[in-house]
Amino acid sequence: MSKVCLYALALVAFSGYAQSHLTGKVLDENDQVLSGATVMVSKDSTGTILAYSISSGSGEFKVQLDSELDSLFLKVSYISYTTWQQHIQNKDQQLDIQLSPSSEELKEVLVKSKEIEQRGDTLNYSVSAFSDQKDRVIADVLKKMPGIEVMPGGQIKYQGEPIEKYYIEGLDLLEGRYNLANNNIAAKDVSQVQILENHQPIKMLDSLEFSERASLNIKLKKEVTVSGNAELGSGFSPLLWKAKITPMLFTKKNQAIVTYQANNTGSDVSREIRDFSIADFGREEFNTSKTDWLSIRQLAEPPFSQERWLDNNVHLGSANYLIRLKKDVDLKTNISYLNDAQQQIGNTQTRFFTPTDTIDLTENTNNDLFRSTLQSKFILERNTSDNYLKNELEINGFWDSQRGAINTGNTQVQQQLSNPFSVIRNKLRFLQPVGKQVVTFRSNTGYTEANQSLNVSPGQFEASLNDGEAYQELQQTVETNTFFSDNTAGFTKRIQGVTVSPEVGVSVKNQSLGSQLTILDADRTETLGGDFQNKLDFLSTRFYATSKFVYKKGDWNVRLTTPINLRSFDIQDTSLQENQNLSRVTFEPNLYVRNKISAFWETSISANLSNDFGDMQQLYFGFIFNNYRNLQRYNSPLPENFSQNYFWRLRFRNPLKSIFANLSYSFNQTKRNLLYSNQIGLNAATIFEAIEQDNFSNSHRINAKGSKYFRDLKTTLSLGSNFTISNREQILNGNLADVENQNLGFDLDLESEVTDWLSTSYSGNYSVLQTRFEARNFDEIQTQQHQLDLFFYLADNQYFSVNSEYYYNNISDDNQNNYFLNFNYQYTFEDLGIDLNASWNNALNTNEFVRVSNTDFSYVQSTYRLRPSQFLLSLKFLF
Amino acid sequence: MIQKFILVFVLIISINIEAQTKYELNHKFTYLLTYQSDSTITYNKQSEEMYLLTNENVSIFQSKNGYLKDSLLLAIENDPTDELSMADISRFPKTQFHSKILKKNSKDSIIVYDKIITDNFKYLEDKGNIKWKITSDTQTINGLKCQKATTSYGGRDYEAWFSNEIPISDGPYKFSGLPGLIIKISDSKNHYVFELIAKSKIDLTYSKLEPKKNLFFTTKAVFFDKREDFKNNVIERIAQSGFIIDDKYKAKVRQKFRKRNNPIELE
Repeated sequence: MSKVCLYALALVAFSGYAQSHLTGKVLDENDQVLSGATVMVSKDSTGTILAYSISSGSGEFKVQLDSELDSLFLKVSYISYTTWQQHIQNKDQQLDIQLSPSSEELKEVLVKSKEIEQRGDTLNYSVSAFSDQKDRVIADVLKKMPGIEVMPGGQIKYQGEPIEKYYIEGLDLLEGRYNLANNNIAAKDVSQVQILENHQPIKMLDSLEFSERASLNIKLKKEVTVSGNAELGSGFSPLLWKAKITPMLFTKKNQAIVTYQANNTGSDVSREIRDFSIADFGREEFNTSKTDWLSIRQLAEPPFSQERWLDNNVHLGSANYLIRLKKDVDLKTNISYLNDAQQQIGNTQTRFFTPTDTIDLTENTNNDLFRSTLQSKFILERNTSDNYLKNELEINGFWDSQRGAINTGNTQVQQQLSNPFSVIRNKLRFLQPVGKQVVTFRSNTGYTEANQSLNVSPGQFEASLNDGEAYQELQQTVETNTFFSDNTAGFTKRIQGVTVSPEVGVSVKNQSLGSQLTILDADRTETLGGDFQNKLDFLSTRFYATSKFVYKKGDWNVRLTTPINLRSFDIQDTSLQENQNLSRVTFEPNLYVRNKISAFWETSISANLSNDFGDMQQLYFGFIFNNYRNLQRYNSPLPENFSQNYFWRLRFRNPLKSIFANLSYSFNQTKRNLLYSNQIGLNAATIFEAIEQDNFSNSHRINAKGSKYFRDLKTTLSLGSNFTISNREQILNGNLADVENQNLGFDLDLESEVTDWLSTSYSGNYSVLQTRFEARNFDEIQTQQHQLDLFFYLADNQYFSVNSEYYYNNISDDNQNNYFLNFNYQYTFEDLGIDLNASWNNALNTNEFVRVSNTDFSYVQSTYRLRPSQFLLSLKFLF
Repeated sequence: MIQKFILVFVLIISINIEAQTKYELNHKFTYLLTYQSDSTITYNKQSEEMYLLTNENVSIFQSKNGYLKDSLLLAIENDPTDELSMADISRFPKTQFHSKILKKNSKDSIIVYDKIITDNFKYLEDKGNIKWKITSDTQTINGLKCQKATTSYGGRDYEAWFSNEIPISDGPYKFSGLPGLIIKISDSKNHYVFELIAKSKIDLTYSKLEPKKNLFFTTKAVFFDKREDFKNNVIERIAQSGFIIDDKYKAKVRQKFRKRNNPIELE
């Protein structure tokens, strides 16, 4: 009302000038108001618009006009209505305009043919448009392309998701190990980087299944490209060296990348051949990684960068070759050989607690480790639009050996270990359309072998093995092999909003173990019989039917898997006359539910039941001399563990206030049918045995973490805390004991970008560990770690960094405090394409690191000799 | 113990029944947006198609890919048995423009939905923020007789060509209020150019305008502040969500985000 008054006032005030006000309403045929109608005033029917109004929510319009014209042309239009037009007098007036509906179509838009960006799912990035002088390899340019990210470890992401395939000219030479190509192909050799969105690598699924992710393709400038790069470095002391050379060849049908890398600077060269393949989720696979039955006493590795403590002498060679045999059929070979000689020096002080006594043991250790590893993979892939076959043959050999000397103060023990291992495995995946579904067959078959031996002098366990008489040397040999085969078929279907993936399969594993213990003395060689040998056959089979159900709707996300397994075990040792058979049907469901409560809160729960049966490493009837103070056997039924796991999490996030927090609780209960006992002798030698008795272990864990960003300080503060309490039963020297561990930890992190040229980060943590053995409390172990890093970005082509660390524990008698300091500087010669890097590691020359840990019945304090203060200079360039 | 936690879990679930407003839309105008996301690199122009979906009373402006993505999601919700629902959202069409703009004839303010990473924001903006000056220049664009109008908005000076041959007072992005549809609008540096390239009649029910998840109702000032803050402090933000970036790469990551230095609204 007041508005109208004001308007009336304005009308009076301004009339008399050459200014007129047109007001009114726009109505439809039923006298309902029309809002959004355009009211235009022009000189005549063809003139330009002089003034206009858009009718309001109540259909009203007001046009104010400064014009000397006598008559005006008024036009009122509204979509789907006939335009109203009329000549009117140029004077203040009120008009109610009624429009009538019209079926007239809107005027067509005629577009001249115009170049629109590239259609389809392929995006082309021109490399020359993104690269500049300082870019060397293709990874440098990729980082700049919008949508593409290269993570610090080398993984590539597109729109935040890891890429699935890394093709070079459409060929997948390296599978997941694309770091090797990405860090070595020169940017100048590449014409385009293509992102293939929604790319389904399996052609026959192209129209059936949405692809997981995007893939990347490198298009080279020339049909034939030969290139490479190199790095050289040296330093002191002692004399340090570092070398790397990587030649490459790419043609239409052949591709090869070869690399040789070597150093004695403690650098981990295996990073270059790291695999970023996206694995199949939730599949129970055979473990083909190396298994060692015997060992020398190792030292616990310090928890920080290898480059500070690893005393190595490593050589790595890797050759990768792909040949396109015919259309859609590729053969790939990836072979890598690694040779490393490492040295470990340090000592371990262990305090064993038995219910009756405390035993101290000091071991001064000096180990030489030799690794010689050959890994090879041969892949044949046929990828056509009506079927898919991929066969991977993997052959790996490890010819490792170790030598160790231990000085316990009064005795000197020599250990000599030969621990080779070999594995051959074939994996097949085959897809075939059956009706409307695509059925997937998988087969995974392989064989592993380990013939290992450990020699220890002087001979140990005289009381048990040699009637208490000292003797020269003890030799343990172990011969094992494993054959396995797993074959499955399954498909995926959607029923009533639930995705169901049923699968059936059968898997077989046949293992055998032979072991012998031999006493080598000056005048005799005696192979011990009886309980000191094994000749074991271990057959396990599993028939399984499993279904996965996935349901997603709105704020809910539910996933359930229902595997039913029929497992059977047949175990026998012919020489010891031992025999065991077991059959079990197990149901091992797994449920996960997530709910988004609101924009700020989210919660999830998961629960699962699982059965776990031991394998041959937890079941053999004769003693094996695992290491110089361990004589071990599992003369007991097959371990059967039944566990329940529950997990609950609550998350809070408020992006408006930059606060993130989460709280979680988990509970685990495991029921075991076996208890393990340790007999600790006076010289701390342990004899380990398993006893049949149902027992439980429980653990509760609570975790809380929160972070807040302070914008004015450009600083993020995070605080976290966790508390774990666990207990279990243990037999020690014939007595059943309840062991409880409590662990409480706090951590604090600060990240701050002080200015454009300086960033800092601090991280600290404090933890307390308390162990209780029956009613007896052990001393608390307190540890602290603090780390402060400063990074100076001096110029676009230079940076300088300082890293400092501090470690503390309350247990060690000396060396409770450990300090470290490192400096690093890099300068890039942009014109020459050379990076120069200088680093000074361990500037304080801290020569050893002490860490403390405890087990159920012992404290262990280990001291590790570190690399001395050292300086390294290196150059990197392309050829 | 477990029972207690399940109880807590059940208690904190709030059942959220919220009726989505449905819009019956019958015109689709397709604009081609050509833009330059880094103001210093002129060779790198990108383009994306944008939709203006209208009926007599209301319009929704959104990128084509954003619209397609919403439609796919909607199709899954409506018909869970559809093959489509096997799909993973990460495989859906991608867009660089996440904003959705709702304009109603009867209201003096427009509603803007936008997002930063996974968070959705909603704010209102007064239509009166864009004040047009009509000139007498005319030209024919794509077969339509157009007249020129100018305005200054969000730190840019715009030149708009509208045509009363399409009597809808609307246009791309937040632009509206001219006596006819905006056929072409560009800022004085040609960093953002919208051009009408197609028009079609549709019969569409649009029901998923308001994002259900992670929606924060705020003001334009707060939203712009958050967005600027995210871009300038991307390292800290990423660190806060639990990821660690190696110091050596921080400068590069920061540089990459700073290259996105040319949003449509500069202030």
